[in-house]
Amino acid sequence: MPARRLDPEHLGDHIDRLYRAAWGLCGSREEAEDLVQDTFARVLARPRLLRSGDDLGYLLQVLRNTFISSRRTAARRPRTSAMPEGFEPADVRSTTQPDAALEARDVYAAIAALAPDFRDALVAVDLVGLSYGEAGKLLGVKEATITSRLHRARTQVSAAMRAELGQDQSREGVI
Amino acid sequence: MTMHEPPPDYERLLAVAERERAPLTLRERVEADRSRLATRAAISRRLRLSGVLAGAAAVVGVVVGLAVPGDGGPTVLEAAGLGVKPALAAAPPVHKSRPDTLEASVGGVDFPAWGTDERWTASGRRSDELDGRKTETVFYDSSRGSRLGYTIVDGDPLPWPENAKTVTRRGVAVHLLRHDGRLIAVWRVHDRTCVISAPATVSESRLVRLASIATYT
Repeated sequence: MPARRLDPEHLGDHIDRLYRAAWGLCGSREEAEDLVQDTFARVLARPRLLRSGDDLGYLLQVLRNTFISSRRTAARRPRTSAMPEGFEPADVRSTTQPDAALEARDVYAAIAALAPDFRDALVAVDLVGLSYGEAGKLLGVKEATITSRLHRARTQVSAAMRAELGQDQSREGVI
Repeated sequence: MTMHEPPPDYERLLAVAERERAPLTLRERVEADRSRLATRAAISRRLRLSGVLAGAAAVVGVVVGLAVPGDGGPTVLEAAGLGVKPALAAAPPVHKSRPDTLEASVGGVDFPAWGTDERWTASGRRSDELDGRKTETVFYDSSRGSRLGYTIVDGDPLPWPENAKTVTRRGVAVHLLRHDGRLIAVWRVHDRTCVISAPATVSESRLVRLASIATYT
């Protein structure tokens, strides 16, 4: 396939899916926003030639690379302060449906807490919408590996959410 | 449950995750970066083009190139391109005293509230500049889930597009063309250029009707 130039004008079409992917990687809405902005800035910095026909797969690859390098940089940097245990910043954007916002936050936290291999498979297929083949190519593994990682990732997210629900119910019982 | 079937509650959890959309602040930040880099690239291109000219002629060329819009300003296709970009702000409300218009206008030309009769409802807006011209775009969604972008370009009228078909309705000459899989309508109101970029599934007659209604709101 001949190389073609990535069109900056149409990058915005993918922003919702990249935002969900970023949230699934970081586990935090605020970090996800920064990650998506950094990703777009990196892509826009110079013209990009794509050999595959898939903008989204390419953008996810840049997002993932940006995430990995930001984590490496953060690990080298000394920590100056930490949020108190159980601190939950108010989210002004979701005030109309606070329960839904809380549940979404828990789902993304469960995804981000997965082992990286499982998390990356789930992000690529379920949050971004790549096919198993595309996800395998992106992550450098066989399609069958994606299938089994995805299955385990989904099972673990479901289990984590059931455990979260159980904790919530027992907390309500105490009150 | 078969070996790789997802757990029974997983579909609902995924639906919760998929409901999340990139917030407006993020869209604005990304769009600001994109515009800044596009402007820088345009300036760089102009400088490169003029770089071969010697001495004062080159300097004059650059100054003129940066100070005034080149080639008579933006084209209608560039204006139509705004209609497929994402909305960056909420839709303007319907005007309180004139319910057939929205509280948004450019150069005295109001955006219409096509409302329920036409089944196109305002769903978002964005403001841009094209070669220094102020533009405003309002997005309208149909009940079937289609979206069109209606852009009004301030300043002198833009040249009519080439290879366009002209249809006149209620005295309004609407120029129609197809570009990049979209149907585009161009017309003028009080010398302002109005451009609608609609999905190709919208019929020409419907687009002409929307344009003529918009002219008389």
